[in-house]
Amino acid sequence: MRAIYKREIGSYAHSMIGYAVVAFFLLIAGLFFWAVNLDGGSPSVGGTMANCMMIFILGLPVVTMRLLSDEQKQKTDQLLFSTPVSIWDVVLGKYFAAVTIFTIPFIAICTMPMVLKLYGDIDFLSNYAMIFAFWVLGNVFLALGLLISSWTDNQIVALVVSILLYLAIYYLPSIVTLMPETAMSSLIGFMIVVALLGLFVFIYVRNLIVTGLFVIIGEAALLIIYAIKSTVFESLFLNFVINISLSTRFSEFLNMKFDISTLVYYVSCIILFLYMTVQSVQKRRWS
Amino acid sequence: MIEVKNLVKNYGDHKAVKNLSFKVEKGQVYGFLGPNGAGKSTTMNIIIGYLSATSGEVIINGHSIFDEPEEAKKCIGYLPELPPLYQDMTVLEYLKFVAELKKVKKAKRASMIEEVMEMTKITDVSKRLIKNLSKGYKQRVGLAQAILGFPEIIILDEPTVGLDPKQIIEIRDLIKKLSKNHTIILSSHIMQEISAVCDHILIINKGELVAEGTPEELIELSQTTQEVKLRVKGNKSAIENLLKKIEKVHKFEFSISEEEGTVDVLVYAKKQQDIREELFKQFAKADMPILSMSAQTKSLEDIFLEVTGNKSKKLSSKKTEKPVKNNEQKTEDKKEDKTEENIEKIEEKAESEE
Repeated sequence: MRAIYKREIGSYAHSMIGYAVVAFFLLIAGLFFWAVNLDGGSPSVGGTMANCMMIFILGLPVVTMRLLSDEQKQKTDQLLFSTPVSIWDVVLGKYFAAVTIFTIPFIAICTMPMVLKLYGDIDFLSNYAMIFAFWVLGNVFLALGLLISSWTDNQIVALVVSILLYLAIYYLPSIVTLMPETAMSSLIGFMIVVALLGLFVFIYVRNLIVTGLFVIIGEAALLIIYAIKSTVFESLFLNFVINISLSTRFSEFLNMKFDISTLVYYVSCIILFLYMTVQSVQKRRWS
Repeated sequence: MIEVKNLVKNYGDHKAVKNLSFKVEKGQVYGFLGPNGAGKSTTMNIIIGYLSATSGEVIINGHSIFDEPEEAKKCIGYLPELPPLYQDMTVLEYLKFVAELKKVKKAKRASMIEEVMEMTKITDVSKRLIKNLSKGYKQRVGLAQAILGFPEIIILDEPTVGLDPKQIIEIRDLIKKLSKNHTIILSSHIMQEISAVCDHILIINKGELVAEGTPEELIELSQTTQEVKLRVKGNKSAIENLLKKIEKVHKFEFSISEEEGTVDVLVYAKKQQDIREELFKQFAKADMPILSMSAQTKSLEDIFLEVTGNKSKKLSSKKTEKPVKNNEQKTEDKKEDKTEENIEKIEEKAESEE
């Protein structure tokens, strides 16, 4: 794992991607810090963090896009998988390298509450909790980006898919809020989710029968529950989306609350995405 | 050393490897020969653990590559068809990275990298970025990567592809040098390449093993009949009558001769017999002078074309248990002759190109 980690860090340094993302992150964070905190007079870095979410959507895919896709394209994965290193070593080495690059701007961000202290009283604890939660949220996006990078051998495809998916994750709660909260619309929402999961299952197992069974059983279960007690579905989909949404959950921290369940949720997402990445790489050996 | 048992690999409906089984013994150079798309690279990728198999087993030094991949991979160095190089690293950085991946002990790393760079003659480019190297140097860096850590088994997939004749000779010499202490498997679709360096040849076609043995064994096995081409002064019917009487003759075919009053005939001997002397004596006796005579023997190339072109003509050294090696020295002499012949050919070609 150490060898892979060191190589990736070196590669970020050689390719300028690392410098560019760090500089971009610091520039945007600095601008919003000035606008929201210094000029706007807010005692919390929350506003700055919330505005920096765009960096997650546009900047982090750049960090992760080539991690696994380029190995496939250059055929260097043949080296990695012919030497005695495990797939977990490879995935974790790459993941931690991306996390390291992403963490560098946080050294600067951590000075923000101290700067604010010069102008008056601030709540250090909740400010740092917010920065920490924001950092963990970024790590979730990095894990997801790494997973997407394992799906393709084209880094541009990985970049575009990541940005689109991150945008969907970011805007989904707002879009769902606009929809009617009737049981029927909830049902349709869940049916779409099952269909999307079916697509995902198909990508992984490439088996029409398994996928078909999964979708049919899922959709049938939803319809049966709806037929028996349709009231269960009322506003269920909205609650579901709000609960799984990465960005909505972060708002708890913006309200100065330390929400441990959100952190546990984020860490679970990281583990899930890394596990899926390992499976995705493993699967390629079979296809 | 390596045991491949009933290996099958399917890509959807396409069967890339069909029930392949063979054994690789210690300290020899094995040649994996087959036309493009025969399944050579797929088989190698399965042996080194990069691809998984649909069914079958690969045992390396007692470790299954599927069940104990890390133990099995420790015994192998692999150079794929396209050297797996990171373009943004220098040669030295890259080799240090590979040494770490292969878990070479820290104390030994520097000296081992030095030694490998000497062997592959890349010391003078060690500080250059890999992306700026020429194709030949890239191939050598790939080779250096494969032999780093000096694993017991070194697997090379088309190691000389795209190299100039001088580089080909250098790589072959290096392979020969390595073969003293390592087991080497090398693949190629070029016959000369294989016959120049290998002790044992496995010919594979459409995912199946179609022939196996030492170069000499393969030649002998395929020489079921001697073919003698004759130009005889005389008339066709007399010649036909005479040939029919000779016992060692299996069959014959006439062809049109350019010289007037002569007949061209291709005579096939019965299995494994030399009929030249007999023909000479019989025709002399019948007062029909032989104006020219040439016996054709099959080259490895013919055998390759034969076994890869026609599946029904399967050859296997195991089926006919026939002592082939009379003495080992002889075999080695032959092989060296052949190598030199090939090198001369390459050098001639290079000169003519210049």
